[in-house]
Amino acid sequence: MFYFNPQHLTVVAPELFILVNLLFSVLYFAAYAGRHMHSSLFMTMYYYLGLYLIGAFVLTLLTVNQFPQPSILLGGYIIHDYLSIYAKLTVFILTLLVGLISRPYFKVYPFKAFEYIVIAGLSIIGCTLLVSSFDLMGFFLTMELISFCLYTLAASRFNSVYAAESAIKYFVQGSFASGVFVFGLAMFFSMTGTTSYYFGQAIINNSYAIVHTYIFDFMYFFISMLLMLTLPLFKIAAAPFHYWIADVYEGSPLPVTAFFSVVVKFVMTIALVRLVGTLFKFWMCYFRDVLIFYALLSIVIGTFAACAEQRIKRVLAYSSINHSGYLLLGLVPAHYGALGSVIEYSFVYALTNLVVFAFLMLCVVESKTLFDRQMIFVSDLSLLSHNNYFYNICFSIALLSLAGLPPFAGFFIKFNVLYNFWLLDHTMLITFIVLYSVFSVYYYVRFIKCIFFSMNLKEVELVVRDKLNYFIIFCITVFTIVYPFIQIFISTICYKLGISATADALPRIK
Amino acid sequence: MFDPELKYFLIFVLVSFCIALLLPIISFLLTRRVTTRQKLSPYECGFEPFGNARIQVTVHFYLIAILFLVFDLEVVFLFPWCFTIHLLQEKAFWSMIYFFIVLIVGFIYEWRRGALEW
Repeated sequence: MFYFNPQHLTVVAPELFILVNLLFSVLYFAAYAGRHMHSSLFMTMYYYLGLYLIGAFVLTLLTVNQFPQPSILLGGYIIHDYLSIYAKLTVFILTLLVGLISRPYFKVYPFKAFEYIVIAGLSIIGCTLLVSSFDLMGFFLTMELISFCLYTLAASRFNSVYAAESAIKYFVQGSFASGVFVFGLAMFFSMTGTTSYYFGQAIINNSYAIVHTYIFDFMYFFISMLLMLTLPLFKIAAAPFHYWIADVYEGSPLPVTAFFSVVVKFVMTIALVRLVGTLFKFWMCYFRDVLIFYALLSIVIGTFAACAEQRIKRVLAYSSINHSGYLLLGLVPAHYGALGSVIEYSFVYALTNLVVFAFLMLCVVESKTLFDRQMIFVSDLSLLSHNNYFYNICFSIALLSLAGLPPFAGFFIKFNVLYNFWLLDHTMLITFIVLYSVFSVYYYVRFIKCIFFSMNLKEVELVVRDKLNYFIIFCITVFTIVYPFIQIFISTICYKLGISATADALPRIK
Repeated sequence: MFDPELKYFLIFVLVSFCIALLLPIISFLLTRRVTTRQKLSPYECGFEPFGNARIQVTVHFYLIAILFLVFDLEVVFLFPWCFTIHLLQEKAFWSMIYFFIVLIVGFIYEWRRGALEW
């Protein structure tokens, strides 16, 4: 057993730093503001959260060498290894970037309640604890911490009917998925007597001898694992569990959508990779067909629905479903390289999505004909044809990278995932998926067609010009273009992260 | 495949399902039904309802109810802790203190934000 040692609390120093600071800020703001609601309070809290995130980033760097890697700390709840450190740092950076790109949006549509920033900070604590949790109970609790914050954030425009609808849908379906997970967890515990990844992995890996005994009922085990798989699949919106995503993306305000799409998806993918790498890896031959089924369904449904949609956010939601299909395909081989390719995929996907959202944040149109001043329909993008040509090109490159066209980053990450999958001799499936991805190019190219080749009646430029957003768009686009030259370094790092995700470096128990 | 004792549970589920299915069917088939127009009205005794059954209640009631729930649960949590504090370790003591701090921060927040004012 692992024991709780208070000296190990230094490993969660970044989270404690953010938490204590948030508590003090809540006290200070509540005492200062009283019943007063103003957007200046929101913006002050927003900058404070940025400072807390930078502080937490530095603290994470300082705790890297405090403990040997990998080591299991805090009563077995926290693992300190390459993957958790990498994911923590990436979460802080991605959240900072999402915050920075949403600045022009806050100028046009000011939020009044500073509590949303506090809630976002709490969800970031949940994210960093989730990627470093090494126990199914810890996994569940941090997942709930994230989820409750996200239900609230999805409803942050409380005078909008869409926001209320999206939050209620997300809440009901999310709590159902959590219930299914807890049921699977109870079955798993009743069979193995542990909720730790470490002991669970040891029991599963040594289950050759006891597999047909009364204690280790394989069907029972299989069902419990499938039930536990439901929650992370729901959170990354893989196909049979995807019903929430389009409504939530559409109903929540654009910064929250960006947070969902960039940070939360990344975190959930890392959590899923760790879960699959430790507990599912040994019996992967049985889970393979299930994962392939989910993946194919995600790809087919995401592509078809996105082709039929007219609204920008819904198209992005369905493309997110499509991408989670590729993520699941990468998990199927479940060896180091495949898990590493999934980690690489989630990182590059998050960055590319960031460009798309950074561009959409600037798309605020001064027009009476649109009922909101935001761009809603894909055809509204035709208003941008007189915009700065360079940034239109950058946006198009990000979209083509998401579609997976060859010279850009999106092609190489998809190639890695599909190559690892192809080594399992699924040639027919690979052929189907590659031919099918042509459809998925269609709905990305539709965006580009609307910007460059549509007749527009009104000549409207981007009203908001934000140099920081332009800089972020430019940097990530350069990253997307030079990706083939630096891919060897990133793949090597991700291979090491894949080794770390399987927890094979931990001392074995027999 | 499953625990052999589960077959009793299966029998139980099947029997209860059959009973639940049979009771409405029997009452549907055996009773004598007279369908009149009055049967469709909300109150069979002849009143026509006036006004909406739902009235709007101010959201403060819900807020007070939720706050009451939180502090009520806190008392439920506190009672066993008080009675067993001589048996507990240091960790249990400090985790309760931590819980209090978080609760007090929440209380000050809602007090200052005016949730307790009517």
